[in-house]
Amino acid sequence: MIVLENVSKAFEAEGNSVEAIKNVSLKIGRGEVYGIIGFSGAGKSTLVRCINLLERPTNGKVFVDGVELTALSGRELRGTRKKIGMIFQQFNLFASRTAAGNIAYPLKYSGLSKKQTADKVRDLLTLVGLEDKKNSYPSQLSGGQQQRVAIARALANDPGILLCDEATSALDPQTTLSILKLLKDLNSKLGLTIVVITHEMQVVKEICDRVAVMENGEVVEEGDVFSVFAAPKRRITRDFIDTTSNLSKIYALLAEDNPLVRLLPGECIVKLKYLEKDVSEALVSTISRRFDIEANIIFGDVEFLGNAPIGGLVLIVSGKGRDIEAALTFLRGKNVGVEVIASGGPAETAERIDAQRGVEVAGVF
Amino acid sequence: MVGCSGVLAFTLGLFLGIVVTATKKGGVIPRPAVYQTLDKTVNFFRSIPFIILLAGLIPLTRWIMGSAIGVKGAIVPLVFGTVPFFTRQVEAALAQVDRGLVEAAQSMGSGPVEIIFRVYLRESLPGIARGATITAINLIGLSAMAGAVGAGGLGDFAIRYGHQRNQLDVTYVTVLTLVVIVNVIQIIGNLIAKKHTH
Repeated sequence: MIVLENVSKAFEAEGNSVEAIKNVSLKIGRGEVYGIIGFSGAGKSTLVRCINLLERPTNGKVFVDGVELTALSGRELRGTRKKIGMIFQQFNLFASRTAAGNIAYPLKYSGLSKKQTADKVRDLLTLVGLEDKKNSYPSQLSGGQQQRVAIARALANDPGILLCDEATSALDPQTTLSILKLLKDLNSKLGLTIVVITHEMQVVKEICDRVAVMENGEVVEEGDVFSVFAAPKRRITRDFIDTTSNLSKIYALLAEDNPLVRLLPGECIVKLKYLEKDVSEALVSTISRRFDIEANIIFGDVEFLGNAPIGGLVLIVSGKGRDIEAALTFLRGKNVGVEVIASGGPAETAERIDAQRGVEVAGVF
Repeated sequence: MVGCSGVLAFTLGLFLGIVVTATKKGGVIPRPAVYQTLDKTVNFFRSIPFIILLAGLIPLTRWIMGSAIGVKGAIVPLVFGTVPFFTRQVEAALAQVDRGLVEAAQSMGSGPVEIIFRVYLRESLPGIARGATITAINLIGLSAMAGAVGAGGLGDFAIRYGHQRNQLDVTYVTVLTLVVIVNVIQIIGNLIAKKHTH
């Protein structure tokens, strides 16, 4: 278990003091996959380095498994670090050592015999799926393979914790997925606590149980992944969701007055968002049947976060104003977030606007 | 003369290069005072022309070696002339080691001394080999001037017999010998550097 208590870190640069971390308190449970997401410069890399004290906090305390790291001597701290593995964006493998040599590096003073070390290295290479790359140098390995070696090296002293600093940011999407899958496997197989630093929403979605959102050195939102991303409270959290969701494209279409979203009277654009974990009803067909309205899906984005759907739909709904109102109330009753983005006005004035629109449409074509 | 001062200069330069790198701000054992002193001393000795060093160090040479002339008298100035140069070569080679590797080693619980030997020195071996090659060749050049204190050597030989007695063939042979020596050193250096580059 990792506990950060009011951790702050300031850097001195040319007389100015820059606060990279401001009063952050976190609890990360044993066996958890914990994500820390933020845009670059948010302080997340500094924060993860405060866990193994590669950066010593200016203020605050760091506890790992009940031991206060911030109170340890240099030697004690080095011993503790052996039980906290870390991997990096640039892999940081020793170019002069083979894959096996890299993995054996942290085992040097662990009291293992040559044979035991060799066995351990072989087991670790098998664990990360690189049995046949024992004698390859890092320069002969692909990015994904290098990161696998780095993971094996980080696990050499059987740590209970693995810190990942943007571990997949230098990899292509497919390799990213395979590394994330490996991390998830290690989490369930070894009960490894994993802390993942990332700026990629996808990484959090794939493997994290809980997430902290960082902005300007502060943790602005924290909680289990579903509730944070289903009902984001801060703008920055919404921004992250938008990086992987296409629902917000509707605003761009409206801004450019795309013919697709020019509304007739009696029509309106509605954005629906799933807020509860048990949205499994056929909501769209239900509202169109029950309330006698038409629902045209223009954007849809539904993903699964730990077995619960997250995301939503953008619909153009048309019908009588009263019926639409009733349908939206029904949806709200089902715990769906409903937001009317644009409206074509009441159906009564239909004819006049219709004529106008005919001219505009002709102009477009 | 070259061999003896070469070994001494290599050892001292390597040591000082490591100290400079380690004590620098952001190094593994940051000691700004040590770094500043060493840095300025190295610059000081690098700015003195060797022929002046040769004369200026006479009292020190006599105190250390018991004599300020001959081969004995040349070794101290040669070491003083070469060490600062090689220190910089080592420093430059060690600076090539990615900061991330040091960080990774720290995250695995390595202490400063372990990082110096198992990360810095090991990873920069090709660079150090190249630096040592350049320094060794430089040293041969400097040793030609050692004739000024009666240490003999190829340079002295070429001046005395080739130039002053006007025996041009002696000069040619000397130069040819030097060309061969320099090439051999360069080839060995390249081989070592290549062997350790992966």
